[in-house]
Amino acid sequence: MSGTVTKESIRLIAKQHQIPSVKEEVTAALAPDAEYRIREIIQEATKFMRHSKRGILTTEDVNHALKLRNVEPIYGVQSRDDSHGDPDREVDFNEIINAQMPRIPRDCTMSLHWLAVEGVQPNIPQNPPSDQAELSMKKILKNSSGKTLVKPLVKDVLSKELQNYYERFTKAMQDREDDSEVDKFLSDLSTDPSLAQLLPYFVEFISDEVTASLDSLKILRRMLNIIYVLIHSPYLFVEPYLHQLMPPTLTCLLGKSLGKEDEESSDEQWSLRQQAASILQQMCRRYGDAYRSLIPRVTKTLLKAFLDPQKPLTTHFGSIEGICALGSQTIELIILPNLPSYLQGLEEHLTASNSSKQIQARKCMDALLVRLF
Amino acid sequence: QKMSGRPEESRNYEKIVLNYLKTKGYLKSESAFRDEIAARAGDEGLVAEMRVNTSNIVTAHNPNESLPDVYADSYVTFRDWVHSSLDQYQHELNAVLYPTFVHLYLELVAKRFTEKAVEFMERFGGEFKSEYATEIAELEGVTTIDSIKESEVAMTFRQNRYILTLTNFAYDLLKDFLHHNNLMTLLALINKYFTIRPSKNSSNGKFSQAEMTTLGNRDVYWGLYVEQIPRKATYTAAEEKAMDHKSPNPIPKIPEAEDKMLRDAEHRVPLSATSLPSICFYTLFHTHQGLTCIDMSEDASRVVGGFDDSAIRIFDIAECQVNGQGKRTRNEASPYTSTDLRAHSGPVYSTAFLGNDWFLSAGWDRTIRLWNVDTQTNLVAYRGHNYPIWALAVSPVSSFLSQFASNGSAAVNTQIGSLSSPILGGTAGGSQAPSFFASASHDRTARLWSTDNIHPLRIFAGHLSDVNTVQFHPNGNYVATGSTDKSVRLWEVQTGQAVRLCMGHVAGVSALAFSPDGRILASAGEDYVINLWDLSTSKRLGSLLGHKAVVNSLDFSADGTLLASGSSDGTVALWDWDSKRPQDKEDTPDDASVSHQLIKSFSTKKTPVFQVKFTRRNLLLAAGPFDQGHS
Repeated sequence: MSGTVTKESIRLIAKQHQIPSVKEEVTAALAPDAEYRIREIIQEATKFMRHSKRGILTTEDVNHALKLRNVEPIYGVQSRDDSHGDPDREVDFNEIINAQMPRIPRDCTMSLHWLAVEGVQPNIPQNPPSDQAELSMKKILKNSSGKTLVKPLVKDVLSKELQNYYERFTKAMQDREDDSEVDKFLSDLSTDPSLAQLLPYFVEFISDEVTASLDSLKILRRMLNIIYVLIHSPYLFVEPYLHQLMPPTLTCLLGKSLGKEDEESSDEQWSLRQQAASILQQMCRRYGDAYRSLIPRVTKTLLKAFLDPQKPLTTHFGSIEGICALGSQTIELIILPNLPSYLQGLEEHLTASNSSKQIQARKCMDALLVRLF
Repeated sequence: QKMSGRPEESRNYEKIVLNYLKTKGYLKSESAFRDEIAARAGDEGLVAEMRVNTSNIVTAHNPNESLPDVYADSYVTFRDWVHSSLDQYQHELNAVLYPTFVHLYLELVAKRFTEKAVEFMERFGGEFKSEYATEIAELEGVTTIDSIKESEVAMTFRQNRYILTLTNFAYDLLKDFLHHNNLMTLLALINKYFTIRPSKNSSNGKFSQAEMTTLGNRDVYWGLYVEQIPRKATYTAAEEKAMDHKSPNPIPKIPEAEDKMLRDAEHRVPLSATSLPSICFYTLFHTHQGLTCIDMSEDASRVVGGFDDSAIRIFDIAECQVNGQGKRTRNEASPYTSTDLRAHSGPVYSTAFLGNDWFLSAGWDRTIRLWNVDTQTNLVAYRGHNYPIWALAVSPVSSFLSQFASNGSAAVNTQIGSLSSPILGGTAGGSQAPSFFASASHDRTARLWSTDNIHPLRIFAGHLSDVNTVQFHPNGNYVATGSTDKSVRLWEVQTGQAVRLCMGHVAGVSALAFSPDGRILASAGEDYVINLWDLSTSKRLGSLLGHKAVVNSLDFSADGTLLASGSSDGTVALWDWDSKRPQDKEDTPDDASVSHQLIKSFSTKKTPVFQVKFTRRNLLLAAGPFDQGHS
C-alpha cells in the first residue's frame, strides 16, 4: 500500500514483544492492515479534536475514538508522568500520602468587554494594543541583551501633528519676550478637544517650567493661566493629573521668592500669589467632593506654612491668601485661633529695620485685615 | 487458507484452475480469469494473493450456488465496505459502487436470469434513484438480452470501458479489499469493464454532479406555508366586552412575544459597510482548554458553556449584579461566576438556548437534554442517536407562532405542560406549545425533534460522513446540514427529503448561517473559507477568504446586510458579502489571501472565538475562552 507502516516496522514490533522470527507473508499482510486501522483511529480522533475546537490532538481524543470503535482505551497515558503505564513500577504509599497536595485549579469565570464600539476597537486593557505599540515593544526586546531583563515600556504614539503642536506650544510659553502666541494657545486649549492626547505632556511641562522659571513672573503667570484653562476646559479631563497640578500652584502661592529681586516684580508677586490662591480655590471647589482628601491636605500644607515662624513672610502671605480663599469656615478654624500669636510675631517684623521685610510684613497685615473684616 | 511458499506451486495451481474451468464449460469465467492473470502478471502483491485453496474456487463456482446469489452477496459485501471506509475516500469509492451495480445487473440480464435481475434491481437500485434517476428508470426496463441492445444506456455501459480516477491509496484499498475477500467476480468485472487510473490528487468536485442536478430540480419555497400564517386571533367574551367597540376597527391585542419582536425591530440599529455594529465580547477564563461550546441567550443576559469534562456552566449576568439587599453592589472589575450543572456522561459538544429560560445540551453520551435556567434542573433527555452528537439548532418558529397555528387543537405538551407553573410563564391556555430543534451527529444523520417527544420526528440521512453542523431556515421549513464529506445539504422538514446539494468546499464544513430573507446560505469550513450559496440554484455566489484558522461560527445581521464570522485565530470579521468589486480595482487581480468584501477584522487577546450572534437589535455578541496556547 502506501507504505507508511512497513514490513520492517512489523518485524521490529514483533521483536519487541519477544515473538520469534515472523514470516515474510505475515508481515506483508499485517502492515497494510495495521496502517488502515491506525488511519481509522486517527480520523475519528481528529473529529473529536475538531468538535472540541482545539488544534492539538490529545490522548483523550484517541481514547474516545477507541471507545467508539468498541476497543479498550489505552490506560496510563493521561498524566505527564509516563511511568504509570509500567506494571513493574513500585510505589511507596507513604510517599503518596505525605506528598504535597496539588494546587486546586481556579474556577471558571467570565467577564465582558467591548471588542468594538460602532466599528472602532477601543483602546482598553482587554483589547490587544494597537500595532505600532506592539512593534516598538518587540524592538526593545530584540535590542536587549540576554542577561538584562528589560521590561518593555508602554509606548504612547503621537501623530506628527501633535508633536509639532506640542513643540510650538512649549517654545511659545518659554519665550520671555514674545507674548503674542500665548493667548492663541490658551484659547486653543480651551476649545480644541483633540489636544486631550497631549494633556499628560502639558501637565509635565507646567511642573517642569514652574520649578525652572521661579525668577520670571511672566512665565509663572502664564503657567497659572494654563492651569486655569485646563481646569475650566469642558473637553479635557484633568482629574488624574490634579496631583501633578497642585505642586506648581502651591509653589506659585507659597514660594519663598518669586520673581527677581527688584521693585517692580515685588509688587507683581503679590498679585501672582493672589491669582494662585484663586486657582487653588477653584480646584478645591470643583474636585473637593470627588477627592475627599484634597481639601484637608491642602489646608494642612497651608497651615504648616502659616504657623511656621521660620518661613519667610512671603510664604506667610501666600498661606494667608490661600486659607482665606478656601472659605470663611477655614478662616475661622485656622486663622482665628492662631491670630494673637501670629500678630505678635508680625509686630517684630513691622518695626524691623529691613525695608523689604517691612513691606512684606505690611502686606501680610493688609491681607489679614482685608479678609477678616 | 493454505498458503504455499513457492511460486511454482502457484503457477501449477493456476493451470489446474484453468483446466477445471475449461472442462466444466465456464467459458466466461475462464476468459475473465485468464485476463486477470495476464493483467497482473508482473504484480507481486497479486501473485501472493493467488495462493487460494482450490476448493474455495470450486465452491465459488459451484453450480448449486447460483450466479445471481454470488453477485448479490459480493455486491452487498462491497457496498458495506465502501460505506464504512475512511471519510477521505468516501467520494471516490462511492463512484465505483454505481457502475459496479449497473454492470452486475446487466450481467444478470445477459445471462438470462431475468427474475433474479429484477430482484437485484429492486434490492439495490433504490439508493441510486436520487442521483441517477433517469438511467435507473431506463435500466429497470431492460430485462432481456434483446432489450439490452435497444437501450442506449445499457449498450454504452457494456461496450465502453468506464473510466475512473482514484488516488493511489484508494486504488490500493480497493484492490486489497477485493483480494482479501475473494470477490473474484467483482475483480473480473472490474478488469473487463473499468479503466481505473490512479492519480496523486483527489478531485472531489467532479463527483455528485448527477445528484446535484436531480436534487436541484426539486422546488424549495422560501416563504411560509399557508397553514403557518397566523390566523386572526379569537377573543373570549370577556375580552370582547372590554374592547372598545365604538371604533370600527378594534385594535387587536398583540401577544407579548410578538410585541417584543416589533419593538426590537423598531430599535434595530441599521448596519451597512460604513455603519458597523458594536461588538460585546464574553470571555471565559480558567477553562483549562476544556470549553467546547458557548451559546448566548436572546436578551444577551445569559451564557451557557459546555465542557470536555461533561460539565455545563450557566452565567447569569442579571443575577450576579444583585446581592442580598437587592442593590447592585457587584464590583465592576470582579468577574461573573457560574453554576455548574452535571448530567451528561461525556464531553458536551453543543449547547443552544430555547428563548431565554430554557436550553438544550448534547454531546458524547448520545443524549440531548433540556434544561431550565431558573430551576437549574435537567427536565428531559431525548434519545435516538447511537453515536456522539456534534451540533444542535433551534427552530426560529417560536412557540407563539405555533400557538396560533394549532388554535383550538392545542398541541398539549404533556411533559412540560404538567410542570407548567409560574416559572414556565405558561400561556393563558396553560400549555406550552412545543418548539422544534435539530441535531447533527457522527452517525451521518441529522434528526428533527420536538420538545414534547423523546424520539425524533424526522431523520435526514444522505451524507457520506458525519454531520458537523445544522441550521434551520428562517421559515422553519428547511434544515441545512454541513458535513465532513465537504457538502452542504438542504432538507425539507415535512418530508425529510434532501432538496439541495452544495459542493465546493475543500475540507469539512463547520459552520452554517442563513440570511434573514432565506435566499442565501453561508457555510464555512476547515479550509478557512466562507462560501455563499444561492439556494434556488445551489450555485456558489462567492467565497470569502481572510481567516487564518477554522471558522467556528457565522451569523447574518438582523437586516441581512452584514455577515459576521468568528474563528479560532482569535478574530471576529465583518463582511459586506453583497458588495461588488470597486470599478477601479477590476483590472488588478484579487489579493489571494483576503477577499475585498472583508470590511474589518477585530482581534482579541489570544481568545479563539467560538460563537458569534447578532441580537435582534443588531448588537453583535461574541464569546470565547481565554486560554494560552489554545490555537
